Amino acid sequence: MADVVLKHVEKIYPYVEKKKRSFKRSLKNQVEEKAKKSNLQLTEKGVLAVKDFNIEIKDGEFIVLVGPSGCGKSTTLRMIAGLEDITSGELYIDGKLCNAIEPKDRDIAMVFQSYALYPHMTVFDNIAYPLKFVKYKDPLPNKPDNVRHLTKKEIEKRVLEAAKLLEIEELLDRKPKHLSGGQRQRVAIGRAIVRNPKVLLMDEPLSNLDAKLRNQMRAEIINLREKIKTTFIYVTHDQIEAMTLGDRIVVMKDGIIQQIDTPQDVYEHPRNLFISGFIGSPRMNYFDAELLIQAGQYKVVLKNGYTVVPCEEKQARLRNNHVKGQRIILGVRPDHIAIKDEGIECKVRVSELMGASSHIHAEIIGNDYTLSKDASSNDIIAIIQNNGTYKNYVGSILKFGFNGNVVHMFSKETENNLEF
Amino acid sequence: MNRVITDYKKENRRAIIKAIILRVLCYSFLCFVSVMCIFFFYLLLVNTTRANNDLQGGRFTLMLSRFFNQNFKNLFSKFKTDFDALKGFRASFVIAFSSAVLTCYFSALTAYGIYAYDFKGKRLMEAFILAIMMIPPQLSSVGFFQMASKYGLKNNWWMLILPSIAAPSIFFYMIQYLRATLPKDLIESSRIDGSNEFMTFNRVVLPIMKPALAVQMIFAFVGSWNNLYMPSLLLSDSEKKTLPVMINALQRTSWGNIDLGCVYMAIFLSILPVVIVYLFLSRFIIKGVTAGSVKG
Repeated sequence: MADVVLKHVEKIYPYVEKKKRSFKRSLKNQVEEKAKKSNLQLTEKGVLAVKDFNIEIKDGEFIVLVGPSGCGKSTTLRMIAGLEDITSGELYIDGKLCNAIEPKDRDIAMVFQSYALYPHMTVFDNIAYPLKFVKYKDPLPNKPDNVRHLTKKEIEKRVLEAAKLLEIEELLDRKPKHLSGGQRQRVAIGRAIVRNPKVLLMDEPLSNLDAKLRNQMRAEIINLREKIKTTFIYVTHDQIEAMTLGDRIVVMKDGIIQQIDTPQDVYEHPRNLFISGFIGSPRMNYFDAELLIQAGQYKVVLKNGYTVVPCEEKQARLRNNHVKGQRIILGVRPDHIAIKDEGIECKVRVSELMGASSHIHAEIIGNDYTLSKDASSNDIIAIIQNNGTYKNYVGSILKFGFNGNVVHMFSKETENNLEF
Repeated sequence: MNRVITDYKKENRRAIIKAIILRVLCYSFLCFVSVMCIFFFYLLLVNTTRANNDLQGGRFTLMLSRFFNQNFKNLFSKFKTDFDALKGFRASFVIAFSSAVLTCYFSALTAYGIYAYDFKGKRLMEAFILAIMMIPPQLSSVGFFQMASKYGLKNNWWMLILPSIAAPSIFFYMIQYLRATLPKDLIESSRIDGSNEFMTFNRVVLPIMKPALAVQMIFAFVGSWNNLYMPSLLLSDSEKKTLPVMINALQRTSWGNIDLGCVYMAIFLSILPVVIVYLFLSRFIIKGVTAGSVKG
């Protein structure tokens, strides 16, 4: 186990010579046009992949880096592993500055998305491979500083222990090509944990598995975490994995940390519009609304006049931040929307039975006051609990409302949550 | 309705006839090419069984004769001084085997270096190595011969083994193979597992490249085994001559009383190991040549 600290870490991929020349020729145009077209951040030095990354990961903590493709999460992990150079900033593993230390000397292990099993070796040899390089002190009477490799017996013992833990003992003689995706994943994890690394890095380890196997392996990673005491850093683009596995989640976008918090806090208190849309499934509903201050109290008024008064906790936060009356984006999660007597009048288009609950897609009647930022249409999505009896609401006209303690208010200008 | 069915049948028959004609043409062409390939080996075999007088007469025949044993005996008795088969085999084998092993290992190492590492001038270096392929070895042979003479390295096998290490065509094959078959994740995984760069190459990369190495080793071995030009320039000591040089000498020195039957027998013996290697490993060679051509 070890703590991992990243201080102001940045990663810039320098331009190749040809691009550098053209960049100098038309610096301004390049920056403006290319940055508009893609989510790449161009600087004079090169393409900025990770910007000012700061985090303190505690001993034995399970941290999940989550974000859309190209947000820099894998780059960050690779910098921790030593597979990418750190352009600027400092990386400490177990209190030791590791910027210039080779990957093999960092005492870390990594599970790759592609499993990266050595195809010519058996499962046993794959798991035993890292142990062949392990050296430890074995003082002898005449040589107090004696260092030696593990013996064959010691290696065998440790491989069998890891195999037993992952229930792959019967696969030890097989080659990777004769294994299923789930079995390969277990072998990859086995190879990573056999050395008892200080830090275990996982780069989207479940993304090559089918949905059922992914759920199973996710549960096994949770079990594994209980059994081996090490620091986990896990990269995924799947928010469900992030929510279920992590002690803390690091949400990233365009190389910048958006929020570091517990899964519950990220879900309940997203710092900005991006996080609110990225975390949570189905997506959050957004409404065009106005934040008013009446008699010292904040009120949110939708276009049809439906008014919500934020709860006292939210009121206090808004007051502390000296938030003024303004046009806002109101966010409400589908599970917080309920059928009410008063609310937004909608016609139900689709009702998806999910088992204990139903996902209802309803079109707002009259006015287009949902924001089509993430939505494909002028719809509200609500999760309705069935309580044992499924009622098909398709075609019905219902009123949907929500309470003041579940609303998220985002500035229209900055897209930041006004509570922070 | 019946008419439609009749038309369909006619159309179908026409397509079948067309396919048969096409197939016959293809197989005829392939048969022709195969016969062309085998023909010269067969002619060599025929000539080893013919007497010198018969061969000197210039009569062309495809029929096997009965002087095989005689030619074999003559080769080892009459031309004992010019053709010492054992020494020739030893020299050819040592040079061909050493250069095949070294050229494959170092070509794989170079290809791995350029494939796995990012450094300035990497593309230029690759282009430079490939550009060397365009230069025929004969062009540099004069300078090379002068250098060998100057440093007294003539009649030294190392002068034939060491320069063959730099083989751009094998490098090209190896880098293409690596690009198609070796994910960089494996290299990175090995680094994280604690291996140093050289161990990663030897323990992870080389075993994955086995098919490519095997096929290129065979090609390099055959190329070196049959090489006449450089060995005939450098090797004049009869103790160190390779088989092709000996055969060449056999033709030249015995011009007055040339025994063509013996010459053909010597050529036949010299290609025998290569033919055996090809016969036994043909399936492996084809597998190695096509391996890595398709990702998957």
